[in-house]
Amino acid sequence: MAGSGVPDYYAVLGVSRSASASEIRAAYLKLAMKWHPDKRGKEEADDAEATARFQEIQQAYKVLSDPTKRDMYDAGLYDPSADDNDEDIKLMNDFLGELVATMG
Amino acid sequence: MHLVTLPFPLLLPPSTPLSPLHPTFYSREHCLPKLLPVLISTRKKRQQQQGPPKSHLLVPVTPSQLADSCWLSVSFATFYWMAAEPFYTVASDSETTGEDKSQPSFPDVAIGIDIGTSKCSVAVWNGHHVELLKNTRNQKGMRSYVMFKDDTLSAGVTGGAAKENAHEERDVLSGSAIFNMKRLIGRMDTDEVVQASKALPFLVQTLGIGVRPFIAALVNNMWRSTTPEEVLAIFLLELKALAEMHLKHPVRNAVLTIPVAFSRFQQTRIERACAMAGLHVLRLMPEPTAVALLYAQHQQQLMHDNMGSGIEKIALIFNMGAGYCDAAVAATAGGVSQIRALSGCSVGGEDILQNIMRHLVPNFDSLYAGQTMDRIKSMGLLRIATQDAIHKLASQDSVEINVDLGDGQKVSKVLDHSEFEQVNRVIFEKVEKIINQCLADAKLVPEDINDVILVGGCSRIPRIRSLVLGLCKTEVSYKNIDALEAAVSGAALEGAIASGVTDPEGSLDLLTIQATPMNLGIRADGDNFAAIIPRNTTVPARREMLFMTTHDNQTEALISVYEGEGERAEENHLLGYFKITGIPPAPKGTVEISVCMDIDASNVLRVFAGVVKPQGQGVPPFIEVRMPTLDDGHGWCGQALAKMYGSKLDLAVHPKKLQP
Repeated sequence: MAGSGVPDYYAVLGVSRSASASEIRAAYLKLAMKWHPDKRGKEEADDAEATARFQEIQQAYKVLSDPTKRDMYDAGLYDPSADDNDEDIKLMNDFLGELVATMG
Repeated sequence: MHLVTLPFPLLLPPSTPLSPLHPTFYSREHCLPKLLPVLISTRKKRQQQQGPPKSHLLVPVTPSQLADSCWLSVSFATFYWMAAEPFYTVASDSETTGEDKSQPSFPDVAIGIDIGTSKCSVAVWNGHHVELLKNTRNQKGMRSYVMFKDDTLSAGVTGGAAKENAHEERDVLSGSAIFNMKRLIGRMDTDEVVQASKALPFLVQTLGIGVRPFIAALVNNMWRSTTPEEVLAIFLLELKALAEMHLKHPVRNAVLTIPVAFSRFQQTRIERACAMAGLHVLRLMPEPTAVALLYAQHQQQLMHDNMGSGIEKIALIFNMGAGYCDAAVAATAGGVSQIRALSGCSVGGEDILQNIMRHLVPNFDSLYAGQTMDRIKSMGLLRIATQDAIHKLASQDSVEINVDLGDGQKVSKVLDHSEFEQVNRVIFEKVEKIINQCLADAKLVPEDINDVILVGGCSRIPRIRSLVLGLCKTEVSYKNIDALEAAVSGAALEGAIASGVTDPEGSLDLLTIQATPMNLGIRADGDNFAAIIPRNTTVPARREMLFMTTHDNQTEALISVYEGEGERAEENHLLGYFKITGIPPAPKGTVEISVCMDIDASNVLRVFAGVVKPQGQGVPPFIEVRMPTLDDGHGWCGQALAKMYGSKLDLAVHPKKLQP
């Protein structure tokens, strides 16, 4: 499971944990069309809510659409506060890969 | 509602307060950004709900605003609301009575405007599709310039209107017209683009100290000063009038395309020019993203016609005009165009033109130093001959240039492709860099690209085409897009979507998910630049970063906000600065300061900053600042701050960095 404080990205996108990449993509597009502030009518819920919701959706998609990040997330090792440093993530992933290889 | 037909062309003598040349025009203009949203939003709601006003509700205004809005309403009213509109701002959204709801009123749909360095165009959503508007001379792409004559001004939209007065290219190059304003707007006199603009036939004077350059047009053998914002505003007034003539109703909102490389400061200058012209900017859209939206619509159309598969398609859009060059990678599916990466720089056809002119006339700079009438005329002749040669080279192997520049100077030369390419080698290298950076940022390889879309005037240059296609490892570019009309069409689409227009046939079920073109951050760890929102972050975005004090008992911290790609703060654009004061005295590194940056869906940037550790009653409240705050892009502000405070108010990036 994901570590404490990390939201359930699968629930955010409304997909199962075994969802394929294209299922994740489709769910994201549908939700983006619904929640992107540009798509909110003027009379509907205020922009702030839509913005927050869209950002949540975007964050979930960013992680689940990237195979490396998704693996880490599934393993409970994804830390959103340490993201944005793809080098670190790659190194970490390589290390994990090696670890698995030596154990196997 | 009384609709006033506009005199066309719009020629305003500088003696009237309505003229952009009248002194009061600009003193009023500073209040516009504050007041305009009120006007726009109330009017917009009103029009959506019940058409023209029935009853009026006063919006509280201060005496100074009242004075300003006098001017405002005069300006608005003169153009269209004359009979209907009272003196100051009115709102009636809270008093919708329910009557008239079925009555058709004009739809307040934002128009799309593409202000090119060389040419401009305007397009509208006409209820079924996007339509490009033509001027009286039947042109869709109108030359971007404003001609200054005695007491009249006229922009390239009308181009002197009547045939006998029609401006020719040599008039535009006579010193009396200002053009290339898109290259000059919001730039300081230390900027290399401004320096290069000294080779234009009008006056561009620089002092090289980081202030705005002095720009003037020749009127009756005298240099009359102006600014890029004024020139653009006059041009936009004519474009707006053209759209209103066509639509037969007032136009207030617009979506404009801008280069990827435009700084946020430059964006505010575009907004200000629009406000001066009575236009409210609904969106400023990076040019390639406007093209991406049009592409997304095409893909939707194909899917509806059962010709497309509906799966995700990746497009690389390359746009190069006279002033700028940019690229975007967009992932498109289901009408959603997601911008994966953006890159751009201020390199364009103007640079190619100047390279060739200097190649043809090696003593160009000494020959044309000091702008006398003779030299301006001679330079105009050279520009025309060079432009012509570059256009011809797009379709022939070589071109012969023969031009008499006067005063014994003659150019007689045959220019072929290899020479052309050699002279412009640096330009092509920059293009290559833009494409490669865009692909790398999107984390894609050329094989991932489904379509390469080439737009902008320079995409006709064979070497540019082959270069971009080669980098994307493909032989053909996407066919169904007009290179010169794509950006403005995309802007008009976005205008309709952002105005809330829906289309029963579904051709507006589109969405662009934008990304930030440049890093946004603050100065930290000495002179370094700490990016808080990295480039290509999806918008709307909100990121927070932790910093700490660098001195014992440091009670104040300076937050200097920058935008750009440089690793050192000073290599980037300074957007603004503010101080956090009243920090509780503590050993260095123990006080934690959070800086949060927020970009909303309208691309407004806000910075929130304050002390997060220690907590308690003795800690000052957070500060929220809307950026940019710099009223002018003073290049020397950063230096002045450094000189005054040194490292006294510095912060360092906290090892914890990002807040969860």
